[in-house]
Amino acid sequence: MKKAFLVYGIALSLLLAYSNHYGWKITDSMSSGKWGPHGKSIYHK
Amino acid sequence: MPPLPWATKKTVAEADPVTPAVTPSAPPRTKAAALSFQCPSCGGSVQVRAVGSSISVVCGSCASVIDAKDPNHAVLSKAAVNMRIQPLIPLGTRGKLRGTLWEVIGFMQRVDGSGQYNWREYLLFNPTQGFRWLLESQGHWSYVIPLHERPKKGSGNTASVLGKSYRHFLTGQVSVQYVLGEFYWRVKVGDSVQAMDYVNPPEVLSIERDKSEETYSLGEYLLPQEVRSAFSITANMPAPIGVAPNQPSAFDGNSDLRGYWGAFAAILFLIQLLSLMFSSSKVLDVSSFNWEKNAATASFSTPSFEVTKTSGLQIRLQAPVSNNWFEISGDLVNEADGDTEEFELGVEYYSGYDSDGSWSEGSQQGSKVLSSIAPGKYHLNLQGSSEMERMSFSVETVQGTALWSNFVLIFSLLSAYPAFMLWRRHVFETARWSGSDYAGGDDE
Amino acid sequence: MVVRHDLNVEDFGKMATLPADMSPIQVGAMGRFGNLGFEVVGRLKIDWSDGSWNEWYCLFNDGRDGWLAEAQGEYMISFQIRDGKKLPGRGELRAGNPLNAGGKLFTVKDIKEVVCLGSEGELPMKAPAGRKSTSVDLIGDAGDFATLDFSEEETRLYVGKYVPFEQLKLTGLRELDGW
Repeated sequence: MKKAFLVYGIALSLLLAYSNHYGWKITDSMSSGKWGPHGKSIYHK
Repeated sequence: MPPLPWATKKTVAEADPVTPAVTPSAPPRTKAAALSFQCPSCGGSVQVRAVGSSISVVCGSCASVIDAKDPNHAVLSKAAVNMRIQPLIPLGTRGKLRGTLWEVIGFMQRVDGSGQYNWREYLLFNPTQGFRWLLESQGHWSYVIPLHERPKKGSGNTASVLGKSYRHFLTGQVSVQYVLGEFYWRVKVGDSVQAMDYVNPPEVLSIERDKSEETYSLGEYLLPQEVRSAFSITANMPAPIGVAPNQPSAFDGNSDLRGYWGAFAAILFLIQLLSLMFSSSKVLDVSSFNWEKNAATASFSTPSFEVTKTSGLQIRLQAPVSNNWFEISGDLVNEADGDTEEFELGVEYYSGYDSDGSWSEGSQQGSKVLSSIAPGKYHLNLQGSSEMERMSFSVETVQGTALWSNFVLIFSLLSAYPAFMLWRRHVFETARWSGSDYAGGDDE
Repeated sequence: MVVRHDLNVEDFGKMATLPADMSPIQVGAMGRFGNLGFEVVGRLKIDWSDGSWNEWYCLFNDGRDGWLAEAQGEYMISFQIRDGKKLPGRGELRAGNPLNAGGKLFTVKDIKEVVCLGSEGELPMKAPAGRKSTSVDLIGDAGDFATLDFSEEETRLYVGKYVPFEQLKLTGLRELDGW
């Protein structure tokens, strides 16, 4: 159980860093159903 | 005969191990066997397994409690009236627990003061180890050892023995309801003692007191599987109901979890802090428009602006609505490839006076974040809607604004797991203590 | 019957037929108590209203003699204390009373009227079957144990310890059918 939480915490930390860096508002993805830091903008350049 | 003086020094050999100084030869090995006799009441065969230790034994045929010490086997009392219980573990069954082979020699069912709650106890015997008990209550099992250390009462309803402290769980009158087999005291149906239980899962300390004596015992929680495999039980084990007073908690690793949570909370704060430090918001464009409901030009456009860094683009709408609402729907147009991202944004503001004074609701400002807009040239196409006839509004486009929603979301997700475990632990402990004298409270 | 005065023990043989029991100990068994080795040379069977137990008379290889009490899977080794200290009177003690003995503090656990059912082997005193006495058991800290025996002739104090069966390292034990 502790190990699972460790992995969970690391994953969440990485997610925060990643989403902040790319200006990805996660809650918008949750409502729009489009996941990832707006693939179109990032990958399309 | 006059008292003997203190014995003079013996001429026992000093050598180790002890060699007998006097007795010439080791005595012949004698065998000891169980004892059986005829029940004086019904003539049925009665067997005593723990010869010399058991002093009462129940006739299996007529349920008379017989004095096992008495050579005439006088009948002491009747074991059961209109009641017959089949013990899950039959008398005579042997099983290995805690490294010792035990034989089930006695069985009893006891009942609490209300008469509604009963449980079963199996007396286990081993010639060198003596007696133990196997307790089954609501499908939960305990291995019980008689204690010969007197527990000490502590502060706040606790008792301690052998270096461990136990919390008071309940006190009540306990009576013998049914007996089978043999016991090391003269047991009688109806015998009553005051019982005090103290718990420190997986252990339970019991103090039983009647007019003549006080006895102590320590029970250790056993899983049904342990009992089943030890005694090779093939019948169905009773299903555990609720949480036993001494049942070990599944949720005891919480202090470690709290440590981890604290560490990650700090890490998340740090990441957020760094994100704030390294983000610099820059206004890319501010445009004002006049919207009319029945105007010819239904849409507006901002001039081109350049996004210099991948970031969340914040669109801020300002409109001086009063007791009304105004919405814009728009497209962020990527001028390089024509890709668009749609968005909607609205403001509403209401105010007035009532008996309490003035009130207001809503705001004349609103904003929306478009996630991860890559560098490039863009502009906004906008359309307005409202119930009003006309509205002037302004739209500000800002890059690199700090996002707080991510932090809030992720921090909540982090806390959700320990919070969930805490809640489950609370539910578990409440269930445990619901059977105690303290039902309604919770343990920390 | 052998009467051996140099050891001050007397072998009175079996004074009465002892009732059968499941005790694994027998005269001739040997064991250890801490650093000392001992040999079981005699036995008394003591009876009271709610049970009976064995008192095994043992000779230790430091020259002392003592008793190994065996009751319901509990084993206590104790030695008689004769330090001249005044002992309480026969009817004076109640359960829960404190008592200083052998330099330790004890609490009265129970008081029993007992009778000797019989004996075998070598014993330091005559133990006729039917001898009545009042036996007071006391417990102390950390497994300390004491007994006061009040009889018509004298009051005897014994101080010792509860010992788990395994620690006694007994050899020469009796074979028990089925065990």
